[in-house]
Amino acid sequence: MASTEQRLQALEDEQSILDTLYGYGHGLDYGHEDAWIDCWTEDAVLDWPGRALMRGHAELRAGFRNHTHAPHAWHKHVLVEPRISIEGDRATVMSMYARLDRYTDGPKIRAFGRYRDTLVRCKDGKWRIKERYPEIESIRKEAPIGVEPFPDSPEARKALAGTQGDKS
Amino acid sequence: MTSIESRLLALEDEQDILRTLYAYGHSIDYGLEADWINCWTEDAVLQWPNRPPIKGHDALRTAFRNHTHAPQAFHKHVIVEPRIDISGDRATVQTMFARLDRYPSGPAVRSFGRYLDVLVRCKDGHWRFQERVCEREASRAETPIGAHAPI
Repeated sequence: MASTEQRLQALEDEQSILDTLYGYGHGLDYGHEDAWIDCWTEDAVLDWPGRALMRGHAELRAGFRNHTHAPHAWHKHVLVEPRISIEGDRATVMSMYARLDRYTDGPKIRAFGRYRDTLVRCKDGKWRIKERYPEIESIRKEAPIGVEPFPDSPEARKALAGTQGDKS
Repeated sequence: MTSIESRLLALEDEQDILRTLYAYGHSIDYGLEADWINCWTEDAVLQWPNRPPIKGHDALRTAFRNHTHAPQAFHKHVIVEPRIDISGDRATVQTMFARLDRYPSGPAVRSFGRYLDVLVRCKDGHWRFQERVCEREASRAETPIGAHAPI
């Protein structure tokens, strides 16, 4: 039987993980660079679909700066239903996501899919993302207002063609 | 003043209920049959729109197998804003849902509505659905890529 302290710690860990998961979308959508970088461990890996894999803060920062943010482009990285599994100082999380964008005829879902994440508890107590593998399962070809078309690459073309289930 | 123990248990109960609510969507979207069946009590009833009630694990398993899953069809059973009301070993939950699907023109909302749920605390401590009523309030007529036509 877990102690009261352990049970409270488990709830706090889950809350801290949610803070980081939510920090990703808010940071990216509104251009909060430092807050976004703080979501990641120093050696973190992010495999955005259709782009070169990013490893470490310097590459993540470059990736962030090449991404659109408000007010240049308004979009929402919406994350829902995070299934969090914590083992000690490591957690795996599967979440659904949808990206909402502005189009000339109104807001639409640009893409949906899931995130496969690994987070770790860092020395300062904060949980940060060590690995994020977004999987695109459906994507709109049309570019939203203020946003470039989806990057062209074999992975992106595969995603656009609808051959799903990969990291795309 | 409620005791620390009971306050802690209330938070844990809510967290476990959320786990079950989330497991429903993930497992039906990705074909995780054992995970999905584990969301339900043995005598659970699921009421999908325009279909007879589905009662018990055998019927639930059949319904699950007749439903589409990735990679045949990519869809998302998205829930938001769960209002959880716990009374002892029983909880009622109202949740908004939207189902996202793939169409030739791109991803779109196929339907939205709400779930009316009753969950109970089981002997192993986990909360499971005893009843789920799915109320569909809006639905797209077009059939998504790889999915069944609307019923």
